[in-house]
Amino acid sequence: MPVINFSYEYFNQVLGRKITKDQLIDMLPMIGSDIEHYDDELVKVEFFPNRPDHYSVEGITRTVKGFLKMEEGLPDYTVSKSGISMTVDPELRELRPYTVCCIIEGISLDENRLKGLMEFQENLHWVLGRDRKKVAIGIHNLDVLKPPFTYKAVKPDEYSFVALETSHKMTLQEILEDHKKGKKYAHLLDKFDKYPLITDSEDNVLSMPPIINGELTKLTENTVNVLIDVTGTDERAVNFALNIIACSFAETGGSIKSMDVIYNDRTVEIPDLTPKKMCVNIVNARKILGIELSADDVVDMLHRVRLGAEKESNDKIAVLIPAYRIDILHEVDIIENIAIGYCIRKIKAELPEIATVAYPDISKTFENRIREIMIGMGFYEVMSLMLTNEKQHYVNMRLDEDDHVMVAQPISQDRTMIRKSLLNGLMEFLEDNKHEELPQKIFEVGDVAYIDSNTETGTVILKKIACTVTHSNANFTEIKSITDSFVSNLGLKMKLEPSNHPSFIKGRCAAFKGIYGDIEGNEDNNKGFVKGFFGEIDPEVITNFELEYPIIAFEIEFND
Amino acid sequence: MNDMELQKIIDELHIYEKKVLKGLESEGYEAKPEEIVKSQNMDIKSVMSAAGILESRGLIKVQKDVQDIISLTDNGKQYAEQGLPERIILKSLGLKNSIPMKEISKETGLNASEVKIAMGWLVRKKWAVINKGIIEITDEGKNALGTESNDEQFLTKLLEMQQILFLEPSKILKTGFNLLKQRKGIINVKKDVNYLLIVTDEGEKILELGIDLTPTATQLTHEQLKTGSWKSLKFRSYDINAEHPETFPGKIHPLTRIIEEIREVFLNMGFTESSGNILESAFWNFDCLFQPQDHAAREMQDTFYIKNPKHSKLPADDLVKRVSDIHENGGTTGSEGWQYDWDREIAKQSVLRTHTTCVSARFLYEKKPPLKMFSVGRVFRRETITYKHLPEFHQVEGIVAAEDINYKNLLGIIEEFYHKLGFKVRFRPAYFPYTYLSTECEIYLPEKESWIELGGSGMFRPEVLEPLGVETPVLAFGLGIERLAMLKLGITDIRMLYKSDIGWLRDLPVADGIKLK
Repeated sequence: MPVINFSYEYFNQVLGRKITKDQLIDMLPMIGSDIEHYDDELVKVEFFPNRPDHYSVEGITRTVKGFLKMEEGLPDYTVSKSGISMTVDPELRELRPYTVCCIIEGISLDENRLKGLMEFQENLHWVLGRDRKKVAIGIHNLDVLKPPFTYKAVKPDEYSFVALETSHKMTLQEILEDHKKGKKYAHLLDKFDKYPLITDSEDNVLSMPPIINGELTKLTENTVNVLIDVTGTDERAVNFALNIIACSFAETGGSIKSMDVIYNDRTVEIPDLTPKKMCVNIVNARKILGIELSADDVVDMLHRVRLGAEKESNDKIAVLIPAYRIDILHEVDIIENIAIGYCIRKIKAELPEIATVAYPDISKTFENRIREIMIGMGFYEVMSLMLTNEKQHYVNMRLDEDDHVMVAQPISQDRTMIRKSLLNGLMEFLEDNKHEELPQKIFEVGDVAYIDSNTETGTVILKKIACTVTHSNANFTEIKSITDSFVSNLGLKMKLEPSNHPSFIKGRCAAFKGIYGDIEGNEDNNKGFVKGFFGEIDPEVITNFELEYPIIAFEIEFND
Repeated sequence: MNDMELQKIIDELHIYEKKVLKGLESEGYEAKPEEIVKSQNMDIKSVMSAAGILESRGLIKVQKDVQDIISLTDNGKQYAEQGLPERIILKSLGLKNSIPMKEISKETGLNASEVKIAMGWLVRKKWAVINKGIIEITDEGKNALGTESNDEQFLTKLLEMQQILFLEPSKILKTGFNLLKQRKGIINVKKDVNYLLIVTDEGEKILELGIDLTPTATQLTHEQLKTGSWKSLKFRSYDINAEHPETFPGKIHPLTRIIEEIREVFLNMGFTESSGNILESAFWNFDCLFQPQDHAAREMQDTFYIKNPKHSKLPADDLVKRVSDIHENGGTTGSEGWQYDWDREIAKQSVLRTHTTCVSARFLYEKKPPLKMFSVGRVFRRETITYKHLPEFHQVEGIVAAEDINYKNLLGIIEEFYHKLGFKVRFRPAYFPYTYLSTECEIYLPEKESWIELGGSGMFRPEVLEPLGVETPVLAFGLGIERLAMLKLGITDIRMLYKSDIGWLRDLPVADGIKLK
């Protein structure tokens, strides 16, 4: 999530008033942010993805002014016509269809602001633009250009220009192949045989969206008038991005001038900063927040968070939402803003008066019962990750690979699948504890996943328990005794048959079913059963895990 | 030490230890263990172990003396009697001055491997040289004909004495020994260890006080209890500070304990428990929680998508349609929605669930309010394994749905929940895509004098509830359990919970700070 860095000095300069560090540190979280770090000069604060209008110091001070009652309600940014146009080539429809742009006059930049502006753009690229895919922003020094402007689709070698941070001309193709940013973002254009380009009336290149701007229009501390272009694939997102930047400039005195964006079938005057109108019902707000609020209170709270608000009737307030706010989709969002304006720490916590009767998940109760048996026998419970890999799970255990849940893009070759058995996790644990004192008796109760195409998710989750014991004399009799004790304590009778489980020494492994008995002690298969196996682990398996002492084990599966 | 302390030591002595001390007293306060074996009629093992304990209590000193004993092997004995193989060849050379290599075996009666060894030593001792396959005696060889070299002197001496204690040998014997040591199978070297037990001043004091050799009882036995013989027995006092073997009780995993603690809190507060599959469709994990299909959290770099099985089945058509409408235009909620074309194929993708909120969503779809529900389970995020992150961890989430619940109740329930877990909590605004009045819970850590972020909460958005058919407000809150566990257990590396050290598990106290008032 975006993190904004600034100094108190700069913040106060933009705010136009001095507030103390402590005041700011207290206030920032309550307008919706998370302070990552602060010291005597600087603060590092994370703002959430629903408030990109807070990604600049100008945007933060706009909100803070409301809380300090310096300026309240809807900010008043006027837009006047520049008469300058941007013509959009119809060929861009498939490629990168939307562009919006405007002019800001009379700005002042210094080193701090230039740096802040860069970070602001990058954060918007990330959050609104999905790393420039949906939205890409360019800000240009207007005074070196000759309007009107054209946004067009051109062939890769049709144009060449000096890209930012370079000193010689390159063709568009060369930029994608050789320039740092070109290489990074080339994938956004690789499906196309023409590339987007913005030029002025003398064919000077402003920008090759969404890749890079020209060196010609680079901002400096002397820049006074700028042109902002935002291109992208989502009309709403490009407009939001432009509005957010334009209003941020306007907050420190820039004047916004609109431009005419000329498509082949229509002309649009941009930006359109008309606030969105919504209503909030006071009854709803009171009900949801649980606090007594009058219509006037609500208007106050909304003004404080820089929304326009006017009482329409005793229980209805008309709310005007500035064009840079992306977060308000529904009445409930306005209610959230009322709470923020009120300050949520002032809201008194209160338990609800609803009587409910709780039932535990029976499988958790069952898990606890079987843990009790294992602990009684002196076992330690351990936990393993459910993500494992085929080598560990199959090869090391001498098992043939079968159908299993596989992850599409694993974090590493160690975590490529979801386990079907718990035994290999225990073996891994023993491997990690090779140098610890023996005997080691451990167990795990947990879920495993099997493929089952009949279910909704194509998988079925089974509960299993497994244990291992390792010491110099661990043998079949010991594990048989442990398994029998476990099964009897479940209230079941163990029925054995020989097994050739490949992880165990041949002739020293048994499979079993645990079966319920009826009153007379006869087997009763209708009550369900558990099944499992136990024995002495094969020396090849032991050495696959680089272990050096005999290991005995059981694994049991519980059916519903 | 005063007499009382000395008497206490005496009472704690085992009969064997007493006998060894007594034995030493009669031998003049110092003796070899073998002498004690004889005089006290004990076996050597008992004497040595008693001596060890007496030494550890400072009553005697055990002096250890190690010597090398050298003797001849059968082969060595033969060489000592008949001469080393190089000497045999030298003798022949003394007669003939030179012999071709090929004939040497026939000439001397030595076998091929002996010839090979002998040739090496002949050259090394400079007794002969080999010139174009012919062995020729040197001047040194001629001189050697009448004298014994160092190794030969050592062999002769050894033959004469049978074995040599290697304490302070002469220089000649030492070089001879060193030469022979380099050859295989001629001499044996055995370590001979001798002990001497010497009574210390403390031991003498004990002996002066007098040791009673009447047998004392060690282990109370079934026999003694049955026959009543215990009445006339004297039970030896034990040294309470003596070493003891460790006992390791079985334990549940510390994370299980914390999960149990949390479950108990929820159950006490009237929340019914539910659970779900760790595999979910993107539909249940994201779409029905109003996360747009191009949301950052849905990207491959944050979420584990599944290669096999790639897709899940979507639920009933009317639910899918309602969710689709919500995304595209807000449906009937009055919301704007996200305004894009919703794609059912994307919703069908299987994922490892990224939160337990999908369990809450399914529960809300199936049950009617009023209700309180919670679930604990594993969730998955595409994180590399480090001390801070794991690709899977446990989450717990609780929801309350009822006609008249509000935001104050959300804060109230959370406050009560954390209070029961032993924490003070405070709130600040947050953001989650599926809630409004989203609120972060911070708990206070007195030892660090700071607030830390622990869990999220909020009211489910109408865009989430409407498709699920829920008509009341629903409040929700959750937290990551590993983070809480790390705080409670005082660990800074999250991996310890899964790749645990068994020593850590064995040592971790179970009481966890809980005590009787």
